[in-house]
Amino acid sequence: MKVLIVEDEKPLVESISNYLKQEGYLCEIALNFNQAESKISDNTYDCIILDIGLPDGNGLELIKVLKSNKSKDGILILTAKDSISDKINGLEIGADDYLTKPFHLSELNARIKSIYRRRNLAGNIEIHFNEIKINTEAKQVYVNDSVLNLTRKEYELLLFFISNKNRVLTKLSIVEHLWGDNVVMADSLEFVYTHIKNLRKKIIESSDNDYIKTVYGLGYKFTDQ
Amino acid sequence: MKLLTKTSIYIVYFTILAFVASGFIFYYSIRSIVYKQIDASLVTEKNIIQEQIEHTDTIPDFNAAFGHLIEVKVYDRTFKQKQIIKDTIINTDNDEDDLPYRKLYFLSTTEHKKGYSISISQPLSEKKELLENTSILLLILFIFLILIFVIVNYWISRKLWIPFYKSLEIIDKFEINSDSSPIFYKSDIKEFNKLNQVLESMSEKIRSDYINLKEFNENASHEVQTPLSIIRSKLELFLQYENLNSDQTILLESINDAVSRLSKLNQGLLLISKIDNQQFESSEVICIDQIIQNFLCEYEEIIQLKKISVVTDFQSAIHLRMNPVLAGILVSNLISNSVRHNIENGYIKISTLKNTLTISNIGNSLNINPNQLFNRFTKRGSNPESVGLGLSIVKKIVNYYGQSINYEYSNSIHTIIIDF
Repeated sequence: MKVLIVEDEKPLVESISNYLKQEGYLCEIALNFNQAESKISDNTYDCIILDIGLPDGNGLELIKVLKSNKSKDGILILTAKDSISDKINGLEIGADDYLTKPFHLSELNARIKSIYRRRNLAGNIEIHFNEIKINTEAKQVYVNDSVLNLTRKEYELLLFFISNKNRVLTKLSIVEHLWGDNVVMADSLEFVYTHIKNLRKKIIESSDNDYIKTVYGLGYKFTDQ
Repeated sequence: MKLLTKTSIYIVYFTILAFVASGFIFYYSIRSIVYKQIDASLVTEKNIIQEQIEHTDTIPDFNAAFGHLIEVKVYDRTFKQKQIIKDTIINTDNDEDDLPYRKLYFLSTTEHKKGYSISISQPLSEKKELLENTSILLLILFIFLILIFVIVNYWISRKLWIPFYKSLEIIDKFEINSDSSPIFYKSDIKEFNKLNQVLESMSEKIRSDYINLKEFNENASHEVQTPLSIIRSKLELFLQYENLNSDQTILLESINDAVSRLSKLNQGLLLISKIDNQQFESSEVICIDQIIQNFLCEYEEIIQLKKISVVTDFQSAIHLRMNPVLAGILVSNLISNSVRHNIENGYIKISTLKNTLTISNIGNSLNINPNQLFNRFTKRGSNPESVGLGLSIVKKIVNYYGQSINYEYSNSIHTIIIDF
């Protein structure tokens, strides 16, 4: 997968590309509007991570350029927390999704994958992880071809885990993925634990494998290693 | 007490005091003049009698001459000359009452070595009556004067203070986040003009300071977002290292928690300053009970896990023109709050009636002042997941739309009531 990161904060760009490269993505970087403009006119990308607030231009203009070129690139916009209007405008003129800063890299990764699935395979894709198969269209999970019944949150949790397999996911990033970052309910970290416990039990019951590893003090990791 | 009442009272006090004092002085002055006259006439009478006695050696028929009580006695001894004038009370035969008299008593000796005494008594009652009548007249005049004085003073003061009350009204209506400084009226009184000038420059200063401060807060929160994003992303990369030991993960965990709290804090402050800046102008008709239902549905699992039962009683649908984002935040903060401060096997009751939303939950009593409940950074306990902005955001939103919010507590039941 080929990704373009348009962001003016160098350390942030480095983090994003570092994380995505570990996923095996090809990352290109544009640190300002002009660089981004020339890159999108010369190349096509599976996904463009676009910061709206660039020093030399508004990222929304880049979306307009892409759309006028009938580009099929997926667009994920990054907005400052307080610019709700940017977010709404971005989605209206054709961005696929948005994330507000500060975000979790794991969340970004999951969103990129989701955009990729929606754009390139019309959403009709099956994600495989060993004997687990997820049909994202039907929101159905199969283990060894038999249906695994999960609650909505458990399904989202599993998808998030598999999108970020072999990665340490902090409890907070899981909470924010499941319930959004505007509201963190009381003791929500405990509920993550409960959800994970239930999910883990269901997977073990149907596949005899325990993929969810607890990383002491930090969070969880979905891995078969 | 009103300024005018206060000045009027002072004026009444002091004029009465002044009038009483001057009344006394007046009374005693008149009295002494009257006495002087009486004494002078007594002495004149005495002189005439004395002359007659000394020159003619006879005692005249005084009663006919003067109409006063006059008594002359002749003795066979000599006296040293002596004169006394004093007040006395005499009971005359035809009158039962004792009457006040001014009495002159004179002792002397004639050339023929014959001693004699003269006593002349002049009645005071007529003079006293005159004095009393004058005093009463004076008192009436004084009371009348005080009344006129107070009324005129009240009227003048009221007229004079009009510019002051106008300025007061303007200052009272002054809102710090208004677009323009208040404009004060010109007055023809120098002091009030000066006051208005001071008020005008002061309110302008306050307003510009407030705007600066607000901008600073906003910029600060805004700029903090980027370094926070960087810290968070670097931290997340750090977490991926395979060979972290347990000491390192403990450190990383607390860094991670602190960064999360900082993000939440920043997010809340940004939201508040956005509401202050009225950046949520777009609004649409929303249905509060629908938003509540959606929220409860979304958080059903969490609420169930906490063993909290939710009772909803929507008597009426509340339709409002509101920004949907703010409406969502309002509902989620209120319900999260009642979940957070609930007890195990507790309950939440949400009801709407007409335009009133009531959310109550069972919970431990507040360990903070209920008046500070809606202030920023008021926290119950030290829950790391709470930054203490939830309810202050609720209040901001409610105030933004001119609605009112109240908190009540009784028998372990916390109730928040919003009148839309």
